[in-house]
Amino acid sequence: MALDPQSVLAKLSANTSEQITALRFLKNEVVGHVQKKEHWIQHGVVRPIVNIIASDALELDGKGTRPPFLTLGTFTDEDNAKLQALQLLASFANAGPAFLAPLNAAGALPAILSTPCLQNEHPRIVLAALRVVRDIANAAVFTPSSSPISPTSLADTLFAGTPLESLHQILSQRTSSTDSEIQISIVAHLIKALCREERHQAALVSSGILDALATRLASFAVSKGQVLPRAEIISRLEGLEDYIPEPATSASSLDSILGAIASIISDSPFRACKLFYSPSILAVFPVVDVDPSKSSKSPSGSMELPGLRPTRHMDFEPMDLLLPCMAPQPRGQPTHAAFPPLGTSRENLNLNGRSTSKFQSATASGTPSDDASASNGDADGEESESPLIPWLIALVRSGSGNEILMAASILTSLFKAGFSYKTREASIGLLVVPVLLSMLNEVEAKTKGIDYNNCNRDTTSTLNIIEEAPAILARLITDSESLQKAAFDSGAVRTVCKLLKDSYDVPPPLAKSWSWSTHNRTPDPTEEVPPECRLGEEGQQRYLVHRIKVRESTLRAIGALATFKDEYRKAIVDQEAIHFIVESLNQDPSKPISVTVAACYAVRMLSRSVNILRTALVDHTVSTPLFQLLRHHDVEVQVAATASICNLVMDFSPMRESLVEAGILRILCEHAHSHNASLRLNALWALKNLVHSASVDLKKRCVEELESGWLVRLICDDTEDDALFSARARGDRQPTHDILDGMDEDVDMGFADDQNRAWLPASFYKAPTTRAQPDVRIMRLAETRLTTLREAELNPTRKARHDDLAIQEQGLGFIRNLIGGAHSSGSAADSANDTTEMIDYLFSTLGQDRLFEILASKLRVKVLHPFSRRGSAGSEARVLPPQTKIIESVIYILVHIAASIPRHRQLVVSQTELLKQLAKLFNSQDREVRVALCHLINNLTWQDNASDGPGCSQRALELKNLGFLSKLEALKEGDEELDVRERAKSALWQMKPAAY
Amino acid sequence: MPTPSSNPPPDPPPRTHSTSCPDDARSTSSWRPDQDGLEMNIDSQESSSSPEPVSAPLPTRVQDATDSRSTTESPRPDSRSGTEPSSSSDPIDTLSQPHKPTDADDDVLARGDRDTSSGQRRSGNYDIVTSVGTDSDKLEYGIMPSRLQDDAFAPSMGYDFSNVRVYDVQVEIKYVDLRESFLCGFLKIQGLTEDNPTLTTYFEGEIIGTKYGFITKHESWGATEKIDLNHWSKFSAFRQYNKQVRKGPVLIPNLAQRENIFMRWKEHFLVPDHRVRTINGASFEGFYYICFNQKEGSVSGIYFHSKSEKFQQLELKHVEDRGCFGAMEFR
Repeated sequence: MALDPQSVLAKLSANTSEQITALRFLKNEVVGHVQKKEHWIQHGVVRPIVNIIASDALELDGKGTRPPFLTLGTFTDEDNAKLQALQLLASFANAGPAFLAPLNAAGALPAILSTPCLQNEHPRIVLAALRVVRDIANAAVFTPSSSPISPTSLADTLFAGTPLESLHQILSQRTSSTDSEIQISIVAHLIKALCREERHQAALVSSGILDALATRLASFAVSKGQVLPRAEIISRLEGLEDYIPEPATSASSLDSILGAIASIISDSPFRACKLFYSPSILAVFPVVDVDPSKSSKSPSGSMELPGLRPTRHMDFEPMDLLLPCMAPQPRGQPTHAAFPPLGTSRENLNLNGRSTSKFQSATASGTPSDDASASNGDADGEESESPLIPWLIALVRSGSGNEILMAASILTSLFKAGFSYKTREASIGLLVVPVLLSMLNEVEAKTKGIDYNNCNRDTTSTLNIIEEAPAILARLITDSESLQKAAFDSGAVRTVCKLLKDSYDVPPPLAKSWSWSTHNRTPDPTEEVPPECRLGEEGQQRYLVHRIKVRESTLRAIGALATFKDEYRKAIVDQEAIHFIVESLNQDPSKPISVTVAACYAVRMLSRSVNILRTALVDHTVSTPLFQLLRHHDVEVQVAATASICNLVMDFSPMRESLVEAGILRILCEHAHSHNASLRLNALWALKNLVHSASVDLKKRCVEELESGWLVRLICDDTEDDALFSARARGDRQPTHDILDGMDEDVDMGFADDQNRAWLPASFYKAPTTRAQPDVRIMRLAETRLTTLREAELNPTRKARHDDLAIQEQGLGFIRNLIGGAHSSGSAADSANDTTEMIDYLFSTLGQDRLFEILASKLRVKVLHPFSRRGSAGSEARVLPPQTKIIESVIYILVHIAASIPRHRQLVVSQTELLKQLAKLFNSQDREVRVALCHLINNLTWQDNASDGPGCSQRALELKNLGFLSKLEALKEGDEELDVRERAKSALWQMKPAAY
Repeated sequence: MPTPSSNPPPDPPPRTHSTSCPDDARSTSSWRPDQDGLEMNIDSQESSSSPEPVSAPLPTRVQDATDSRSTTESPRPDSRSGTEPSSSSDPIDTLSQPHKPTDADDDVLARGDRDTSSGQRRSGNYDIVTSVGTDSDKLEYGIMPSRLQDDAFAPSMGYDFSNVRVYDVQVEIKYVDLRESFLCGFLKIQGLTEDNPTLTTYFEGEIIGTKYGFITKHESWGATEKIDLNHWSKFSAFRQYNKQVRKGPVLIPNLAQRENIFMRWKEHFLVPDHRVRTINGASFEGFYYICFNQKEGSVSGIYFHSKSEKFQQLELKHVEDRGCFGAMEFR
């Protein structure tokens, strides 16, 4: 039966049976025919089709719900029409990104996502609706930026309100059928594909979707027979027996469930914890200290929560039996550095700490998980690890393709959050990293003949592995030397560099399926054509999108490999990857900024090698593109580029001079005024490195450009803190108030940032989390901990404080370098003169008393404003000791001043209050502080010439009166550091003649 | 051995290069320092290293960027060139000591005098290092006379082989990463060839400790185990390891606390332009065996290259910086 467009349109608006006829006809017409799809779109069939779905929705909404018993099980004609309409829409969506525009214009998405579709009592309709959404989501990946539907906008729609509720219902279905399994798989796929942003991740957690997914995950453990022994008995005792799920059927796909969970968790310890504190996971993988020798009837202990900082290995950890036997690790002995809790992966790249991996040292206190562990440590100290972790490792070993990848991704999140035993680092190096790399190599070999224009499920999954595996590897190894070694030993450098290079190959020829539209596309003669009858812009080519992703991913991996070791950096250079890394810095409007940011990161890691800085990087004039990126319109790129610049302006960098000539100074000073804390930090850091052993002229220009007043504000916090305090006191009703008790540091700019970061109100989390948790002891415990973790993670103050401390440290380092010798040129005498000149210059621009006062204030123990914490008893003041790095910087500034002329030494000695503060620091834990103190005394008791003799004795006496002599004696006798002892010795030698 | 503490050291001890990172003592050895009573806590190394994990595993501190002033104001080059020929002219087999205790003491005293009586030393002391390349007959020092393979070049350089040649060498340590047992810097030598009055090379150092042993592991450097031991034996401080090294690899944990730190320095390319691979009349294909005395701040080195003069010496003194060094840190 052939129908002309008019009659089709007429039928679509007629009664149900006519509609079905027309829909059937259309389906037969268009399926598999892109041209026909375009043709029918131009005839305007989309809107009537959408109306078929939507009218039903309206009807429902208008008349209330139909009594369920009438329709239960019966598939009416209306249902049939709806099903056909949905299938037809899926077929259009399937045809490519250009078709999203008409679908969007016709309002297809709201109709499909409405309750009557997604919560329809007929699984087939739900499934058909989900398929449309899936096809739209798949097409959205390739949409040009002008498209009305992007993955983000789609996520905004999907992960909120009713659609989110529907997704939850679908995931939580208890009965399983083929349809429901496919539904679940599609929902999981959607989450994995679309969930990128924090707000979506948070919404998916608070809506209970993560728990639902966790239950699905547990069902796989059940079906594999990997439930821990006696889990049922234990769960029954704990009241969790309902949470042991039915075994998953073979139809369901584990990889999409894992992928969805991985996307939701990403780098959040809170969400990672939420996963393994999820009731089904607790039920299937209980932690109980069982004595295997006893009868299996009586579990010897009650269920415990897995620890957030597990240390207690139990005698019986059956899950480890799934893993290959490993040489016994000395138990309870940390093999390596504690792993810093990371913020978002973004932070990995743009960051505030000194490097990705220096988070810990940069924060003396207050990273989220520190607090979390503190709060859970109070119970009874040691705790055990969740058996989920060895289970995931086993899954990486036994799974295939995307399962491996996604299991590794979740494992990475758990590992990096510190939720695994320390000994797991070694296991992961041996058992996981090589698997990832061999899979990558294997898959990479298969990509040769791929037809990018005609991807089936297999090739999509192949491409997906290549896109994601390097990034997951990067995340896993970033902070771990031993994992970097494991990756290096498995040939990661070669593999990853090859992928990067290949991504610059000439693209394969376009297939015809893409070329039709460019010719056929009507030049749009009639402006009046309604938007739902016009195709949108053609999307990007799959191949191009693929290689952009590969670039970003491999650049991250290259950066991660180059974090610590020169050997690895040199291996990367030997692979001739530098050219491509530098190439990736070049701006190109079509290139997403994430590639640029990742390239900046890779350059930054490589430039940590003096050797490479002086050879490969300068040969490729990496400074030129980086310099341009400093002015990039996106602040994130600016942040990343500025971070790399820090290393390029080192005094031994051959690119320093050309950067200065290009005007780096002005840009950095501008960035140091930015509202973005990370940019301020990086700019100040770069300035600090730039003025080191620079000419007096450059130094002065730098201070002028930066403005001395601003410099003072950057390093000095008290006025702003007070201002903030009073502001807070006034606005007492602020919802975030109760979590700001730790507020103490410079909130100057930080406060502005607080506001920005506080986009997620605490209430957002609070309302829905209480979803139907049973009143079970173990769940109440879990809830308490989760609350703590969540607060720690959400609290913007912590990050602000951390940023501010880091900025102050750089600011003080900057001052220190200003008055360090400008000794690169000229003789020694010149350099001393320069130092003296700079000190006087600083005294006159900053104010002598003010400078000393600032320095003294940095050493004081800070009394925090007594914010009363809601729910806590009193409002007693808390004190915060100054941070070691800051102390160090302060002392070295004094060391430099004291190394100048006697007048300056005299000035330092006259700062009695300051010296009293210093006297308290002789027993500092930090050796660098003690060394610096010895330097200071050495310099203060230095005698320039005979005329300084009386002055020198006077100074020595002064110091002795303040108790320095005895403190030095103690250092000389008892310090464990050779360096400290020796320096104390010489300081004493200088002091004593005067003292006796 | 230099006297440990009976004399107050007039000169502030050198900075050690250990500020950036905790010593990563992965393994312990049973080795005990007999001589220098410094180690109060060898056995506790493990425990002292294990609390460290919190601190960043990342080497980012640039330590002492130093330049150096020329050594002309120092009287030492003369005095040393007086003593050194004797040691360098010793045959290999006799235990010649590149720096003798007496020299050290003299130095100490000499400096002590100056320190207290005149202010001259403190001017410009920002940096550490260097003085005096020394020694040995024909060749230039540090930067080796070119391609010695070509004998033809030798005469053209016009050196008087019968005399000891002494060159001014300045070393600036640019970056130290104790965790990786690594350091690097610039080595500047004056007056080596007529075309290039000053030559600067970039060198990298392997610190003998937990990562590198006394035996050189680079085939291309041309050293055999025997050559290694021959050279190390020239350092008196090496004696305590002598026997042990012959038995197997030696690990030296807790490096920062040792009085003497051994290294190998290998020059890699020229500064400023690394692409210049050859210099007429000089080469830098060999490497140095280095012994750094932390207490004295002195560095002694012996150059090795299969095709050059044997046992050329390097003697460096720390240029006082009085604690003035910048805060430099890789990002």
